[in-house]
Amino acid sequence: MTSHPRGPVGGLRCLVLSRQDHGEADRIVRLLSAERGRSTAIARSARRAGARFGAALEPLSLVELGLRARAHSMDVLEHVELVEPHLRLRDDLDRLTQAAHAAEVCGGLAREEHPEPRLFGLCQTALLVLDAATAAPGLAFRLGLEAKALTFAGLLAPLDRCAICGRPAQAEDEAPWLLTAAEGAALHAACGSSGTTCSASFLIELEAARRRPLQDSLDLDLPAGPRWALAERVEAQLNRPLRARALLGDAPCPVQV
Amino acid sequence: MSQPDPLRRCIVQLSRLPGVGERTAARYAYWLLRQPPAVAEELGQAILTLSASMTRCSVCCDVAAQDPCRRCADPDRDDGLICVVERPQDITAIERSGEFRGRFHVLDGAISPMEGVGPDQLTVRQLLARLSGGAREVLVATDPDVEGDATALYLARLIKPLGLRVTRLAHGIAVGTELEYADRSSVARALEHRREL
Repeated sequence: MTSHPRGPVGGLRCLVLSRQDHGEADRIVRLLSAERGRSTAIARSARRAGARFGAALEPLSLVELGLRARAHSMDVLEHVELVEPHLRLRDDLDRLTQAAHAAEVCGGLAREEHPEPRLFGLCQTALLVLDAATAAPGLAFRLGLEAKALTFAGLLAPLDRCAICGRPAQAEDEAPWLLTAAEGAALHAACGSSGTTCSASFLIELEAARRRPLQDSLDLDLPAGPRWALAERVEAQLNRPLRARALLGDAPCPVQV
Repeated sequence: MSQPDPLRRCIVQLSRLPGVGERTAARYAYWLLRQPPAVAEELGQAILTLSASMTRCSVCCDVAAQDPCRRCADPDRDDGLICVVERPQDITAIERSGEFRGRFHVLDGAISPMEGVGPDQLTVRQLLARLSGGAREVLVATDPDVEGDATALYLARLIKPLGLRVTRLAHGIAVGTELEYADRSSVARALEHRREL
């Protein structure tokens, strides 16, 4: 639903986050755009053969669309132009899963009907990088993306220093540190008791992954540490489990011959 | 507590059907009211017996009145060719073409990272178990969308090492449409899968 005034909206560049069949032939699409954040629109007759929307409403596509915004009901899609289908993602289940995860995290953290240029830009970059990649990305890519998205949503404190005492994490620290999913912060062991234990070097690398461009994290791994702490922070915000997470495990091929 | 209005109850139940909103459900309910009682009785009876009398074919995982289903029991079908579809309804679409005389396998969905559906939630294990029975080709007829493509690729990676041929339904520009109006993805696919004349 939208709180925007009625009227036509044109040239809106969006990423298609997901789509859902509705009624006999319609489709409801969830979109992420810089101008409107997360939004929902209905594509009338999109499932009929020869529908004017064609393949443009596939999840993870970048599209330019025109819609009729309605004050108290769902916006109606008028036309859709496919800008980038990210077709190469479909060649690799690992990269596709990472892309779905990126869209779910960025789309989930984006506010509804509020400008979200940074989350939109992050998601767009993640899909472009994954589409062009030739192998599944390392752990630093996913954690870097989650850290950036949480930062853009204002939900993550700097990770290379204690959120309470401000002491910087140093690689030679032997005492454990804590990463808390509830607060989205790193704590020196002496300053907190709840959270997942990790090393100072993990936090330093995680902070580096947050700061460096996503494409530079593509092939990087991280020291052993809590792999899911940031995903849990996102889940706490969304109030539901991340759907793609089940497929992001260490075993890329759950069914073996 | 008072009983819910029977008409209202009927509309609520009918609107649970996929693709049926409350307005359509109300139309159905009023139509039923105008019919002789036998019409509603037959409809109700058919719905009641549906889940009790239908089962899953233990071979192809299709819904069927008997196990194995009539297609799996048909000796005239080609055992060497297995067509993999997402849903039971897809079998009807393939059969309607009159071009396929092989066997079927229903996956019961498609891999969808967007929805958290992985291979272990589909009937992939059952499919793999069938392949040792003389199959030479697996035709993957999943939908030409993100989920269908991912599923096809996943299956190809599992099945090709077994020495079987893995094929996919061709996709591109739909019959009867004009090239000028085809979307970018469809034209890209059509170019990729062009064939010799």
